[in-house]
Amino acid sequence: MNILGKIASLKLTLAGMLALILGVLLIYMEWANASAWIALPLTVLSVNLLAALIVNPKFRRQSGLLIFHVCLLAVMLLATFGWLANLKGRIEIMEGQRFNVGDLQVVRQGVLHPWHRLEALDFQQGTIQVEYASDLIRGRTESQLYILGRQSTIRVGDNVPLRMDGYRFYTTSNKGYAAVLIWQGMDGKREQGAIHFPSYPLNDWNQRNEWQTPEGENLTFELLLSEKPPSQTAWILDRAHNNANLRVYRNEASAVVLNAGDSLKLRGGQLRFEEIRMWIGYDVFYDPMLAWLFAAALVGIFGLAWHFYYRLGFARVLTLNPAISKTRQHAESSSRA
Amino acid sequence: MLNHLHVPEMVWILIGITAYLVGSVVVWYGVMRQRNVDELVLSMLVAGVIFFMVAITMRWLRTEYGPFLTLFEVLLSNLFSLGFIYTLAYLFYPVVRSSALMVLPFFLFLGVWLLLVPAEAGQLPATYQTIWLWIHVGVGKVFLGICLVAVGLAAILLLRKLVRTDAWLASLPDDHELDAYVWRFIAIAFVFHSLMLLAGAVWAQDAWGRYWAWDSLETWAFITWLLLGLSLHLKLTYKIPQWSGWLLVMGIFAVAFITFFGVPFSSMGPHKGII
Repeated sequence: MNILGKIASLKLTLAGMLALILGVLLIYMEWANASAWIALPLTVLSVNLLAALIVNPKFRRQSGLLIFHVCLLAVMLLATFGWLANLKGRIEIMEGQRFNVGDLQVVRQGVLHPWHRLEALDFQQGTIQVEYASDLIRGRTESQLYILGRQSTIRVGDNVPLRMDGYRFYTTSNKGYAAVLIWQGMDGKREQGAIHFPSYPLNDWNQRNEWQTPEGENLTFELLLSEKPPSQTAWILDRAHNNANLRVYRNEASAVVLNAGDSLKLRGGQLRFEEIRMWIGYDVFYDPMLAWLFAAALVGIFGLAWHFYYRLGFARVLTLNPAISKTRQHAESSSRA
Repeated sequence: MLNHLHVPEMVWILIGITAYLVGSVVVWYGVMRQRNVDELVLSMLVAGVIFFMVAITMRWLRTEYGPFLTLFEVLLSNLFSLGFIYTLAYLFYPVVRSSALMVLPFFLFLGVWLLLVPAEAGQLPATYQTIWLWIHVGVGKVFLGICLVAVGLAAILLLRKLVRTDAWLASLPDDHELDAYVWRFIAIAFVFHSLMLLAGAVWAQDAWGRYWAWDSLETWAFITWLLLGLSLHLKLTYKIPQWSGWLLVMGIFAVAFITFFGVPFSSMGPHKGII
């Protein structure tokens, strides 16, 4: 048997499958954490399958089997390329804020990911609304987005992401309030920013965050909402349904409560509390192979079904087989006699 | 179990379990007394399916969501779906009827388990409100039902190896013919399991922003798929001994059973839906 034949060996297929099962179990049980435990068997299986497709005559005689295995190989290759080019990240965007790639927290980025495409995305966050049932059970999330290049508005939410140039922005359960602040320094420079408070209502008991002024003074901000989230009735979380003041701590002993529009003189400048807005967290996902993966998997499964239908006798099996019933009835009547 | 008495659909559930109990008794009686009880068993299967369908419908109307969330709902829906698929197999494939000896007691086991778990309703998460959930769960139930048919036959074949002198077992078609049906059903099951994985990945992509994350349910479903593929390769290529094939089929069903009924309720991963 030549080398290709040995690589195509079914013994290697079985060994590869067993190794893959073992690798999956090792990672699942957290006895190993390197993806090599899965990547290596998958690589072996891919090479083994490719060799089998070339040398095994059964594939040439059985189209359905060929289609399934070609698609299986395609899925492995597409998933690999997708992994090399993909991006996973997280970003929090406030109402009225424009998407800024600098705010993106990258969780994972493949070496082939086209970063310039992400930088070219241009949209602005609109209103955010989350419905709650009684007992604070989260319901529908709706986020309005303005696509600036197209001058259009879309609504995204649960199961419906923003899709732009292959990127998908999924709303998450991470959302809350933000205080919009303006810092005016002694030199007359104005800077607008926002403090995001912890996720709400999950952390309704701890709506605090910290910030350091350009002059180096440490401030702690506490959001004082006018209403607590009701637990007995349905409820909507958005900017319109809640008013808030801002308590500013300059040190342990000193705190000032600011209403919207109030200013606070600080060392080196003045801080103005503009208003409260909502922010929402998105999971960002990019994989250029998604649609191709789906197509390859679906075609492969139909190939498999086709193969089993004709090669394993389903065309015969899918009819009643009275001969078998008669065999049993004859045996039963004989035993009763 | 007394806590369940306030649940409106419980009457129908109890009647359905009774139908499966009667079916179990009847099928074993038929074997002991060498009587043909096929029609009576079929009646009990159909009755059980209808009663569980009524129970599910009542609960669905009351909770305003489908039977997807709690262990109670998953068991209830599987008592219907597995019963429905097995009844179809029983009706259209007479050769399968011998497996009722094993399958009906299995339904009874699921029914008793149902009575022991909390019956309170949950709250359907927003990520469950998609057509892909229906497709994923639907093909998954078809997979498990078809796998159950194969396992039932495999169990009967193993029983025949152990109890060689029984006249009824001896009167069944030969091992070769029944074995062929076991593997045909496993092959169909493999197709539906593959569809389940694909639909699950599509659902996961839009529900949680990724199509695969090796969470507990995905991992065990993938292991089940690999075991199915492995077993088909072993059977079709290496012609493994029949008895080892039957044990393999039963092992695969055990893994699938744990995946369906154990993992979702012991895992805290997002697949549980409560985010």
